[in-house]
Amino acid sequence: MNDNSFKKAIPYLIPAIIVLTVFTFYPLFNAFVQSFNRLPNPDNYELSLKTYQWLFKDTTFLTAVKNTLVYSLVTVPISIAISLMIAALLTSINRLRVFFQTVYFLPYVTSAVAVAFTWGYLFNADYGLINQIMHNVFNLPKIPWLRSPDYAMSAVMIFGIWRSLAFNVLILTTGMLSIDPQYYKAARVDGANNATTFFKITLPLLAPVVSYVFTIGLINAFKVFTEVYALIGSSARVYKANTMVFYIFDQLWVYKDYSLASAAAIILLLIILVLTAFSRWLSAKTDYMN
Amino acid sequence: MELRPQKVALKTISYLILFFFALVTLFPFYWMIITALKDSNSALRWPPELWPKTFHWENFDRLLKAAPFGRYFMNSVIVVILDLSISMIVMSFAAFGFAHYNFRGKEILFMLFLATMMIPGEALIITNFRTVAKLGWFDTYHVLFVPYIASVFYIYLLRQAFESVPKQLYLAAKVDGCSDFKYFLKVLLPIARPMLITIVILKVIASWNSFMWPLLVTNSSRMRVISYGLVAFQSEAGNDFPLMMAASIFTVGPMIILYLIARKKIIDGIAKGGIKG
Amino acid sequence: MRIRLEDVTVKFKDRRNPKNEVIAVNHVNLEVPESKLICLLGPSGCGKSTALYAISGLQELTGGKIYFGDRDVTKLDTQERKIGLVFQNYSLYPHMTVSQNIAFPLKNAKWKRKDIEDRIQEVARIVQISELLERKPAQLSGGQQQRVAIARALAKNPEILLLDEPLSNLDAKLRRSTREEIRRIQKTTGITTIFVTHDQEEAMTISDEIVIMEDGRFVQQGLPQEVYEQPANLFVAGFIGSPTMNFFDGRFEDGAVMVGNYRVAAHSGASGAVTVGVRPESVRLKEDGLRVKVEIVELLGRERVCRLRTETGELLTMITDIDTLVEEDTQISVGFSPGKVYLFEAESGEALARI
Repeated sequence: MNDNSFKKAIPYLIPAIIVLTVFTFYPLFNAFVQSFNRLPNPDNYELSLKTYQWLFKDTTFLTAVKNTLVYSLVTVPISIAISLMIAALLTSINRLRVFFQTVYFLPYVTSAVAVAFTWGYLFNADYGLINQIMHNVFNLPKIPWLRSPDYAMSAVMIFGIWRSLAFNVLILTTGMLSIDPQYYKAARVDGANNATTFFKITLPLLAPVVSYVFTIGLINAFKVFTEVYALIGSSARVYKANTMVFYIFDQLWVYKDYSLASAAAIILLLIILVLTAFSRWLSAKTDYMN
Repeated sequence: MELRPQKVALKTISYLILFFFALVTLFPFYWMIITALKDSNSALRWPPELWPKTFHWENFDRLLKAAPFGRYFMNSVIVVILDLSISMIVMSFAAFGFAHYNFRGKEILFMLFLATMMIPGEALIITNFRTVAKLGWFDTYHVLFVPYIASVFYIYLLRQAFESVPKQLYLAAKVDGCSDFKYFLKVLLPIARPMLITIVILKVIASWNSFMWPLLVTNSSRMRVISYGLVAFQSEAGNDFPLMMAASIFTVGPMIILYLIARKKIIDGIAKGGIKG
Repeated sequence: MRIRLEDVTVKFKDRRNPKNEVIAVNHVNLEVPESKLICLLGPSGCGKSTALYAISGLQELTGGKIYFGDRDVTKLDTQERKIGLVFQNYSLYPHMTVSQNIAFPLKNAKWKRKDIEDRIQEVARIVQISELLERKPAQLSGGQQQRVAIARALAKNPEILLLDEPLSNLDAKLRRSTREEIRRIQKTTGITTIFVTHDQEEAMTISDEIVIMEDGRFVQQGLPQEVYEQPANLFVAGFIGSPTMNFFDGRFEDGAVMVGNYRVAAHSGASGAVTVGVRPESVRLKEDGLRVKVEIVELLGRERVCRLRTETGELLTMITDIDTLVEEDTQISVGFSPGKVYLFEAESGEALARI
């Protein structure tokens, strides 16, 4: 390549560079600066650490952090456990495997908002199928799933698990199918039964893939918003179902407090960066092949 | 090999569990479609109708009279088409710039691009919201996709696809009288077609289902895309669940059809790349 | 079209150490007469492909000039040079059919549709691929791909055809037939052709003239028989011919050339050390010659290839006809045919004389 390559390359690169600069690099920088602005209005600046102090005293934010943590730590492990089971069963069969795979992946491609409304109907206190069955069949009291601080988060988490299965099942099944059958033959020769094979062969070899879906799952769980907004609505705060991104959204949309929104966003960013670093470390540690 | 009774039992249980989860996955979709065809009162009653006695297709007429879902739907289609045509140009250009030329600092610039994948989009919307306000972009089509036309992950996939084409093909094209741009257009893009198709499909799905950003940057009902239109309709519909479900079908229907057509492309694309969001 | 290279030089920066320069083509001069096929022959890494790319315009020159006929093309882009180039791995466009591949350079040159169609039929006939036009490259054998690559290169009526190791991806049998095919096409079209190869047998059979390259320099140009019979130096002598020429440390003594105690032939002139070269077919049994031990004898139908070892431990190869009986593990005495012994300067390797 000759020396004027840069001149030749730049026309191709410039549109992407402009878009990324305006809508990614600048906002990142700006969010950082804004998070140290004492004033909520971004046109006036008074840099201080006050915003962060307020943020960590704001009980709404603390609830949002707590909810986000609970959501992440509950949905991700449960979803992965169920997905692992499904993936193991899927790889053990031949007939109908493609059919099942097609079905399981469906929630991934469909709008979270639209599906959340169906779930909202199912969870409806008076007319939802869930309460109707609980009440009429099992004679249990009706639960106001979406309209109670005690249950709203649980409903969101059930929906969240249902939705995240799609991606996890796909990746874990693909991972399991790519394990060299040689290992299974060897294990059979060595007299291992199905359970032993799964725990001693499949899982260790699948560890990099599991750690991958685990961190991707955590990162997405920390960013949960649409599930909450579509299921509970804009009053999620009232029902103690608000999350960190919901908090950012609220500060921006309702209170127009750019500083608090930015500070919360920076905290989220830091969490995601830590999770990403953790994922790197984990995948390096679990990869036996390299 | 002869199947022992133990093995048969194990197989049966496996299938039962798989069917159970298939049911759990599909049931909300089934419920959505069935409810959309019930009359408004029977959707509230116990015992529920698992299969309606009469199909109330008029629910869709009622829906279109109650809210401009035709308009929402077209808005989404327009945004997806604009988004695709512009973003595919921007992304394949960038991928070509990185794949084909060598210049000082190229890899550093690319690393900078890749690093943006770690930033949650939610941290950026605060400023972007203000940027588009200052640009006077509220309630336009382009505000809905322009901030997202340079998806770094897809640039990365395209760069890899371009770099897997042997360098000699470029020399051959030069001998055959191609300019760099013509080589990109006539040789590289056609060869990278499988990857382009995968990206187009994934991008269509992401664009169609996007929600938070449209919610922020469109106010007038004329500019609503379908997901936002659906949310806005919720309060109007109240407990008229058949109407709500009919509206939901408008939203998920096109993606389900696309999925059934391009299932293999979508699954392979996601499985190969892992994916964000 | 005549081709002339004047003092052509190509330098690269060393990738690992940018301060170092690699001289791929080192001040070379060349004349290719009109309508001839000449081979650029040399071991891999000698710069022959770079030289070809320089002629094609894909590689910029560091110095020197290139003329096609009287036209100075040094500064011209590839597409302005009116050349066709066939690559080592053919470089067919995988997404285009054979006819689209051939049409591609014509479309770029803005030919009329009708002319393009006619031309496709014409070149397809010349390289005999008329029945393959609608296939994709992946559906073709290596030999067929090769023909398509040649057809594409010929399509826009180039004045010069350049081939970069075009046969190296083919198996031995296909290689021979394709070689003849290329020769036939070159003869029918009368196009001036430069053919790059590392295979000396290929070069010997196909070309009007051979140019031998070593370390970026052209060391000898001549007719195939000429470079075989009158190698300009030790490198050429060793590179051309199979099995390779035998070399011995020799010396001048009493007006004769001596190898060990064997008096090869009378030769007056210089004194001191000399390298003596003799081809395997010029080694024959001779009493009072060089005492050698027979290590291996291979029977190859019409001839015997014998590996011999001298008393001083040097290996040499001898080819004899099948009737001459040579047995393994015996001591024999061999000599060199008069007039077939090459003398090279021991230091520089330059050819001195043939005796």
